[in-house]
Amino acid sequence: QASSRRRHLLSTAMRPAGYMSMLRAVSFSSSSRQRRRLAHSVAPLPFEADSLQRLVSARSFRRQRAYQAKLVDKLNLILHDSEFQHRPLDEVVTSTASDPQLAECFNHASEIWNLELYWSRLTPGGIAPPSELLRWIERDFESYDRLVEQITAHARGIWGSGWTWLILDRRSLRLRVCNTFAGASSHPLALGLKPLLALDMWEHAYWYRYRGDREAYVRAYLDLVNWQAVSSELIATANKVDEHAKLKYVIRIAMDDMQSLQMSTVQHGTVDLNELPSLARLQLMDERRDDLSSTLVGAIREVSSELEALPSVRKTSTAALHSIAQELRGVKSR
Amino acid sequence: MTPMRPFLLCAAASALQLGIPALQNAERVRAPIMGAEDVLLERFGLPAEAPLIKRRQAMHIGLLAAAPLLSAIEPALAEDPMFTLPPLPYAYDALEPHIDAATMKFHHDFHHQAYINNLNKAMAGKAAASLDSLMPGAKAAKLNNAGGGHYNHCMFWTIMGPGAGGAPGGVLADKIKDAYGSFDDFKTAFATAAAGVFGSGWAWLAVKEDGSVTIVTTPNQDNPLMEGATEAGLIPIMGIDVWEHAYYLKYQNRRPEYITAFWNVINWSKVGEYYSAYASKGQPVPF
Repeated sequence: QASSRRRHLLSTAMRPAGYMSMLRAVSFSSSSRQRRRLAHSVAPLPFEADSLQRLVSARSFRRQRAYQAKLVDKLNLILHDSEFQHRPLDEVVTSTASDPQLAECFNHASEIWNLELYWSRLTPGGIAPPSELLRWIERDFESYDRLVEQITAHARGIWGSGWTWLILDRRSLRLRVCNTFAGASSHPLALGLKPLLALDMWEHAYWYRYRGDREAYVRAYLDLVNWQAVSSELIATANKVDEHAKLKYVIRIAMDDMQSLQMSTVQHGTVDLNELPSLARLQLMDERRDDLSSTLVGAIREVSSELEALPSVRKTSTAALHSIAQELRGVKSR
Repeated sequence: MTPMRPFLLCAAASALQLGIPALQNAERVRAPIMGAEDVLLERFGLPAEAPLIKRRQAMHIGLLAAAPLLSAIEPALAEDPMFTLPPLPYAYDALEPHIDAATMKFHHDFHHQAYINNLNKAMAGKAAASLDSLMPGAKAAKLNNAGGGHYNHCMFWTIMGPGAGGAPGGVLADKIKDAYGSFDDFKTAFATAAAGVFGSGWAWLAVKEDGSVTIVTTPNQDNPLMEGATEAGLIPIMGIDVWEHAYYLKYQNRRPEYITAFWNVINWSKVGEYYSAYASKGQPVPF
């Protein structure tokens, strides 16, 4: 008996940890053949089970993917003969988020959606953030390290089971970090936000390798993230927002740039501090364009109120915005 | 599906000993529990040299790496703490093979200690109160996390025991049969409820005002004593922790297996005692 057990142990230990064995782990249940016909399935990942050693061992990776497959089976069971049977997964998540009756459906759908995002953002060795993404990060978090700090702080603050997110707020085109909690039926998709990164803060994600050290787990995950993919998602989403939001964004960036330009030129002693910047003087706007000016006034008012709400903004930025709004109102009335 | 056994390393069998020098260097004043493993071993009458766990259930590499982390991330203790960590009534490996020693160790020494520390911090400067008296207003006072955690785990350690299991007897057995038809049906209902908790939480056997029993679940560290957690008037006498840290090391995501194993460690005489001495009289079990 003992020898056969030892033989079995040896064979399981020596099994090659490759792509095929990962697929085998995913399709272990008897309903695997049925799964292909059903709405939802676990997509295979383009890397091997053992390539993310710092984050999770090959065995843990296979187990977690098997757990995801179980969730998929359960979701297919729940959705069978229901109104959501043939809807895509994100639609299921957003539709069931608000309804307490559909909590079970939402729980499973959101867990599957989140786990797909979680795994699909990883790549062996990680890919550093490109310069475009770094500019976005610097605008909203001052630096990449501050972003990591924010994410870690949010992750530490999760009590129970939950997820930490890096999201893009489409209305203001700002990057933000937020938490959602299991059992709270809330999801960034349901709130109209665009999730860029999802960090699994359920204990199963870090317990094996990191025990209570959530910070090390978060850093390990972020080091393995394919930031190039995050960047392309971000840019694609930003390009699809409506004109008003884009205009606000351009104004906000322009104000920041003007502020820093003002600061740097003042340091060189070439600009009078009393002279506030003007869009017309900077030739960013034609004085005769009335139709543009009303949209611009509205957008500027919104941006200035947003900026005023932030504690760290400098008063000269809002003063500059007010002066531009004044100027535009003057242009419109003419 | 065959469960995957961990690949055994002979070195891991003595992981506890390797961990001890690191923990002994931790400040004893700050962490009397965490730093004094030799004292604990002595108290439970275990020799320091022999491994606490058999080679066959040797700990994973993760514990070797995590042992210094235990001292690095221990929470700070208050000067004169209102609540202290009660010692386990049995050894860490007493519940093997159903609940492994590593889980018991982390669960008791790290998690329960953390709840107590947070509770002491929250109760700093307030009048001394017994733990069960804090429970009804815990959600309103925002003590449901730390306070609930402390109460729940105090009950959890006492309702488990080595060489236990079996079935309840006496009045409690009758009440269970009245409510569920048979003990097996009760086990099925309880297992379904516990497996159905999404995320972190507890499943409880609770006593209603009329003395009958019922099964309820609560999220995170809430318990039926808290106003707003479940229906009013319930007194818990037995519970299972289904937070993932309670079973992940041995059972990974296989929570139903953990619940099945849990039946082997329930000390039904203790649960019966809680029923007759406290719950049937309408009083919460005091800790």
